[in-house]
Amino acid sequence: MAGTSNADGGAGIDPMHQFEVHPIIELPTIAGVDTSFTNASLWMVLAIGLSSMFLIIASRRTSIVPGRLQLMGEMSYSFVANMVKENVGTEGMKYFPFIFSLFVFILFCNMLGMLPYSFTVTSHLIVTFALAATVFLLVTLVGFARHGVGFLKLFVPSGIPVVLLPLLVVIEVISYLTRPVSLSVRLFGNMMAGHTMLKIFGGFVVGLSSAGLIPLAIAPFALMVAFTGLELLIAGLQAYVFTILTCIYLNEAIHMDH
Amino acid sequence: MPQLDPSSFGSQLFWLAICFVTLYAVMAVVVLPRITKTLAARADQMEGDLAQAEALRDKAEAALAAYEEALAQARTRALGLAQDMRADVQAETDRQKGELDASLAEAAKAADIRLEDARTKAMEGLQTAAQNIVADVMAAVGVEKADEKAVAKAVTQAFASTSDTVKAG
Repeated sequence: MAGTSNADGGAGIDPMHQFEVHPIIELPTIAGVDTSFTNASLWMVLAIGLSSMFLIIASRRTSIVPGRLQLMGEMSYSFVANMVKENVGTEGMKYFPFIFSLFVFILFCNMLGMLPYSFTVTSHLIVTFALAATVFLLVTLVGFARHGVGFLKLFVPSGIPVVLLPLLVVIEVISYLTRPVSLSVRLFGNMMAGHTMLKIFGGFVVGLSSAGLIPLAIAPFALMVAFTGLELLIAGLQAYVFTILTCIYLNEAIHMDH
Repeated sequence: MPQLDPSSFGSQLFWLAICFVTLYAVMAVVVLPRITKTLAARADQMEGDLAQAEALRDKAEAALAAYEEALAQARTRALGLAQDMRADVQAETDRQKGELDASLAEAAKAADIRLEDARTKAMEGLQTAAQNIVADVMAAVGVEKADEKAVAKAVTQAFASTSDTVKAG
């Protein structure tokens, strides 16, 4: 796809241009890892900076009757805490900081991506896959740490004829191993598709207007406004879906019930 | 598709790791313990307030029950007092009435006795007068020496039958 990423000239025409990663500060490659500070890095830092600032300020006051900001912080805490308690139980609260950070990070990356001229961190498969793989590793480690080899029983469904067992075990193992893929592709796909569509409609509006056909640009403009609302919803929803699936996987690893 | 360009993977993963670990550290060390503490303090306070409210309500209910009991006792006592009072008044009235009745009966008896005396005396006087009249009539008729005893007997008999007739009438 090198051809597309080099097509820099037509801003607003190439809908994939927004996903390009380009270095802002060139940094040396350390141990085979390029550490350059890119636009992707910038928006990651902004996401954690803004979310940390918001939550630190929101949690600074600890009054019994909360103010608006304090209430917002406490509500996001309770939202994720209830999710963990309902789906994993109280044992899951040990992993609450991780799940909360995951939710906040994805939510802020998704939401910041809705700003014009911004970069959507979660529209890159490598990022969502890294997050999903972290979840997968954590869940697998927790499972083996709690149940030892018995965790492998997760792949053996109960009450199944012995003849079908080999086939079903293979299916179970495959479905377990594809979890990080489905988890990451779901988030990445939603983010990329939405932003591409917005860019395409935006391109229509700009193209038709500059061609003097302003009345014709009204329809794509209206659609763009509607899709922006939908995208905001999806940005929140996908953060929620990623988090709740993490909770469900964790619950399975802890309680081993299908 | 820039997403499939592996040249950016290294830097993205590197900065993702730094950012996510930083965020996790800030959340786990600073933000979440603070909110946990605040929520726990609030839950404690609410629990305490609710317990206090319940205790106060229990106290109020106990006070109400005591008040109602006192009221019931007072009512019972008032009723008893009224009954006693009525009984006392009745007894006093009965006693006074009895005394009055007795004194009236005595006075009536005395009056009867006096009446009887008066009647007896009048009868005696009448008898004496009748005897004298009989004696005088007999003297005028010509019986010189009338048997005084026989006259007295006849008069007495006549009186007795008359008084019997009078009494019967």
